[in-house]
Amino acid sequence: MYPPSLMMTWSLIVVFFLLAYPVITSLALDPMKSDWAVTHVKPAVKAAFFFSLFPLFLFLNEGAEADISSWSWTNTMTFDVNISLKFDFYSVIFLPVALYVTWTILEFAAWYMHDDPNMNRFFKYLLIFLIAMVVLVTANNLFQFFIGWEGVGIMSFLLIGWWFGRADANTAALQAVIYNRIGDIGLIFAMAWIATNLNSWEMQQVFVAAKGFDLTPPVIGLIIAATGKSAQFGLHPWLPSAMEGPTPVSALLHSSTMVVAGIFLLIRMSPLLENNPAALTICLCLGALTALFTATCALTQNDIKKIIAFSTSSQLGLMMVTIGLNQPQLAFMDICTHAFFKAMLVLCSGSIIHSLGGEQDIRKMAALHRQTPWTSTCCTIGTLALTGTPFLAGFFSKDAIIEALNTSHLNAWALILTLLATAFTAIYSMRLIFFVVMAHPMSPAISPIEESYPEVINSLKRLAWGSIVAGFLITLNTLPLKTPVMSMPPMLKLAALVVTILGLLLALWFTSLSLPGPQTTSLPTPHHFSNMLGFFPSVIHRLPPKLALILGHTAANQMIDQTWLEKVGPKATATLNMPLITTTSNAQQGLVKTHLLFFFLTLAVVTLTLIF
Amino acid sequence: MRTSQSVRQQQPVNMAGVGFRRWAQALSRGKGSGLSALLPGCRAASGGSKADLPAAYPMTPEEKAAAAKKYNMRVEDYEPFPNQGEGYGDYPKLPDKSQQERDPWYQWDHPDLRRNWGEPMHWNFDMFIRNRVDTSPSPVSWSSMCKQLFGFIGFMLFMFYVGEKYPAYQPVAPKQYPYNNLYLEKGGDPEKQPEEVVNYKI
Amino acid sequence: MTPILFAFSSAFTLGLTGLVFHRVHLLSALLCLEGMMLSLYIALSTWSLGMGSASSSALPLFLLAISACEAGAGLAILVATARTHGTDRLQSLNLLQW
Repeated sequence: MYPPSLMMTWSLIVVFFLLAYPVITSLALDPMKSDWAVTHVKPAVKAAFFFSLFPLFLFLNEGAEADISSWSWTNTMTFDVNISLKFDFYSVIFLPVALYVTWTILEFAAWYMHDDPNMNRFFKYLLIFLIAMVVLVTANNLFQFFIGWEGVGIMSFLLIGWWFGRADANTAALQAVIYNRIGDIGLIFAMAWIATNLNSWEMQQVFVAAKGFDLTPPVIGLIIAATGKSAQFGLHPWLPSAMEGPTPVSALLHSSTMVVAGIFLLIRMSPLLENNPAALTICLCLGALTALFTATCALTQNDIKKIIAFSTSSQLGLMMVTIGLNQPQLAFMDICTHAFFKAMLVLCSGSIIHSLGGEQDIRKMAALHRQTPWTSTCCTIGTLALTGTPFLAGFFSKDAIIEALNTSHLNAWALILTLLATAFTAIYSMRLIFFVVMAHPMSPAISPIEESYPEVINSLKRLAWGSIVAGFLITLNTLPLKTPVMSMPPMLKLAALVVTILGLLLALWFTSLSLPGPQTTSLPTPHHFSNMLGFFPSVIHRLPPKLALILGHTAANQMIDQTWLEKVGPKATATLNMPLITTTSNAQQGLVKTHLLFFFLTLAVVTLTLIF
Repeated sequence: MRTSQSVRQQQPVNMAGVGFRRWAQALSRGKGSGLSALLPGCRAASGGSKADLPAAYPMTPEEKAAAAKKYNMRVEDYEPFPNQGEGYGDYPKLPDKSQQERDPWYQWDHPDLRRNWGEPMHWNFDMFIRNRVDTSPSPVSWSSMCKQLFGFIGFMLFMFYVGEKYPAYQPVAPKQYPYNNLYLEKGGDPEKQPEEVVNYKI
Repeated sequence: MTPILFAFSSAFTLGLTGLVFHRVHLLSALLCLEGMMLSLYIALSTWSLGMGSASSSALPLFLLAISACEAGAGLAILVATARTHGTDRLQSLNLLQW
């Protein structure tokens, strides 16, 4: 067999095995040691990362890709479902990135969750999540993809509700699972359409057989799936609520890995989207709306994790915009760079939260650059990468996206919204840095500030290196599949940068207006709109469930019986006849003689007429 | 001897072990039908007789007082649903307030449900738990919230429509195609010679 | 118009006039009603003479039977009115009038 493909297949199978081994051995009969998480899970992920570098280097060297089609799972006469793994450009690059980030997060989690009695189970859940994510990313057919999709959804539910004694965590977990389920409707519909019309779930066959079909129904299904999983506007409230879970969960699932699954689906299925301008427009507009809406919501949040959650949602909107521009490769690069700096931001926030004894409100934190220098430095690096500071990780993807957006003959309002969202990104990032790192301390005098643990420092350092060089390395080593526009007016080229700097200056001016301190005047209406998340959860989580539950209960139990057994049957006769009876009796006034008189007169007149 | 005998006859006896004659006697005596006399006569351990179940709509004040006592409420607080044939019976009509509105710091018997033991449950209690519908007052009024949210969505949809009509980055000139405006690809006659284009005359 | 035709149609009309324009007593209305029935009886009796066929000669007897029942019912109403209202004057029958 050709050595590179053999090598690739072998190393990827080893990666799978390394990740699955701790999970399977945890089912053994002898009890786990208390440091099982640190001795078994973390080294497994670390080894898996190093093994996954082999395929990466093979791909970078000679463009080797592998499609492994193994065990035939089930088949009918005409429809086959196999286990097939696809290691192409997207999976080969994403796998090391995801494993690197997971390795870092697991190391951090070993410190963050060290006093949790169920830490081993926590790590097991994270590992199962990672396996599901790997299955999703390497899936070559939609069935396997769906298995990974559902796997990450369920693990998200279990991990958000980790502290299940807290009702808010349960509600948040329920929200996550329900919103994801609504997205799954779209995915299952798309899968059903593809299965019945294109006779396969293997992606290669789908792309080839789809020529000539009107692909709007399945593509709309896929967009709904991405809306649910990647928290686009309409199905977005679960993402900020998901911050109820522990920080490692927020870092792994809801910043770098799971939420990009929806975008990844659209990237995988981009050949279907290419020739469908309606779908592309929907992606563009939805992404732009999400980016702006969630950036607006992030402007006035006071919980550090919620700001980061909305920032994630805004970046996901930007990725959706890229898909709408028909640039799946740029979206993928944004996914990879975003994983680094977003995970780092979440880990910094975790370190801050632990250091201040569980404080998550940014109005009670400040001046941490003197107290926790590592964390605040990494926070600053992450924020700069997020806003697209030139030559950090985020710049290469974000700037490319905005350039592509500026030079496309597409919806002008989407363009305006995306630029506004970029400005808002700078504003809320500046707000975050200002409240957390700068100014004078607002936290209690005695806080257990402690960041000298090697787990914390190493994790943050590793991700900081990633945030700085990842974008550069990925751009260097990948050939663009679509020609980027090389020449454009200078204002368009600098648009992203100018907008970001304007946002930054605006934010700095705002900070000079008022220091963090007690609020003495009542807040204006736009603040309420932004702080209450555009009133979307307040309206949508109250009225439709109430109507649905009342309909289910009252209508099903009482109204139906009452209608069919009373109102349509016996009472209907009464209610229909009563008005008639009343009208008739009211019409007859008892003037018998007058009626008879008229009868007599009519008779007389007729007789006389007939005689003459 | 006699007392134990009478006691034994008063309790429902497991007739299956006592023989056919006794069973026939019990059947003729009418103490329950054959099958229920055969089965062991045990009651459910959870208390509550039929009197504790919801009953018909209370007509008289005495019935109202009895119903209020049954539901563990004061007579002033007890208000049944209006008797419009919906089958509520005498179940009390409690205000539509979700459990989220109750004091989070009070030491409830069931802290997650924010409810004490024996408290009358709302008809739609499962709707008002903390994971479901929340009726707690919001800082902004409901009408204002709805107006702002749907106004925002409507505005965005309208602006997207406008943006579709007037897209960005308009081209400067109409598209120009090579090969004589793609003459052959558009199905032109291959034999025909291209016509001479004279752009100027000296 | 033959004399017999004129006779019973005028009798009918006079009875109808009496029924319509009765003013004081219910009994007079009932009497006029009986007069109308009588004229109809005479009309039916001369029917078979006029038509020249004997197949309708039993008809007057049917009418007689029915009108007897009707008269009985009318008198029963009169008696009931006298029992409840104390009189048969028509002014006292005003429960359903406005």
